[in-house]
Amino acid sequence: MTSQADYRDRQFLAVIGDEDSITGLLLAGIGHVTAPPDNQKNFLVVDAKTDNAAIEAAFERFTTERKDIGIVLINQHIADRIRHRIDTYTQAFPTVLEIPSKDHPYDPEKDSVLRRVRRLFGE
Amino acid sequence: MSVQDSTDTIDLLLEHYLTLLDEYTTLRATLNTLQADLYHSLARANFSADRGIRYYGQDYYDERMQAGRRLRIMPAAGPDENPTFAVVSHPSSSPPPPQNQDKDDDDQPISPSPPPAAPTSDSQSPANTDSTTHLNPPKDADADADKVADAQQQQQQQQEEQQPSPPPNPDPTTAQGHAIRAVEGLVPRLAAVSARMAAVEVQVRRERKRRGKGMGGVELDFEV
Repeated sequence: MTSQADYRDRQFLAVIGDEDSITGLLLAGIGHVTAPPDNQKNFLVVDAKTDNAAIEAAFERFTTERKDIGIVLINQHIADRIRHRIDTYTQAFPTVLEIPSKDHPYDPEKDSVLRRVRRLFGE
Repeated sequence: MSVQDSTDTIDLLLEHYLTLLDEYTTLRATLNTLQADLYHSLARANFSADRGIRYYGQDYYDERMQAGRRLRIMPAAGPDENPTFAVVSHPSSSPPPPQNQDKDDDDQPISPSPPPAAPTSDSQSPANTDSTTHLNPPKDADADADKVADAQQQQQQQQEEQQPSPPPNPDPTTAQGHAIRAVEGLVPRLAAVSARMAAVEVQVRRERKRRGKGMGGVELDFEV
């Protein structure tokens, strides 16, 4: 059972995605940089040069270290790069949602929620 | 509780689960459409800028940005309920409405902050604003006002000649609208449905184990 203290302070969305995905969501006003000296951003722009360790570190930071993140949005093609980490994530908060990107449309076969559905029905 | 009762409970839970799954896939489809529209609008906004300039990209992110829309998680109403999600405007750092974005660039941090656009019309210049605020000057100041207006007009004409083709201001309003709809309307609902599905999954597993014990451990467990 999740206690109220677990999500009371979770007021930000975090995003791990390509530049267009991040830019679009920042236009909606969800971007946040914490006060100095931390200057922690709630987003990570992933490009071809970003290695998987950096993506995994950001995912770890958003889901485990930071207690002010309530939802983590991640591009599905980026989630594929750390699929083992996404599929073994079982915490209630923050909730992890996979979103499509410009170049990689949403694939239901890879969606972590729908994979859970298939496991439940024994497929 | 008998094996039959457990089976009935599992059936009810799975029925509820399928309803949630339907809601999830519907929301997913809507989000996909909205995201596609968002990327299209963003590409159009960037395409309308000068060649080689990407107005809306990470080069122009404001390093001091503060979230104008924040998550609010409401506690569960009961022990069997799940918390609900909502994304609401944050009063202290709410971004300007899309229509007035160009005018408020200097006052509030915008995420991401677009670069200052070249003036595209006379009505946006401060000089023009001043002249419009003195539409009915006192009679003894008419001559001076005319001179000032003429000087301003000449100055504007010179500026226009120096910039014969100012770069068009890429308009992110459409992309911003799609993003806001996704963030405020769909993402919180998807998160809530996903959380409810996870909770039902736990209940189904527990009930299956209970039924398995009732059947003497002959329960087929589909869980991986």
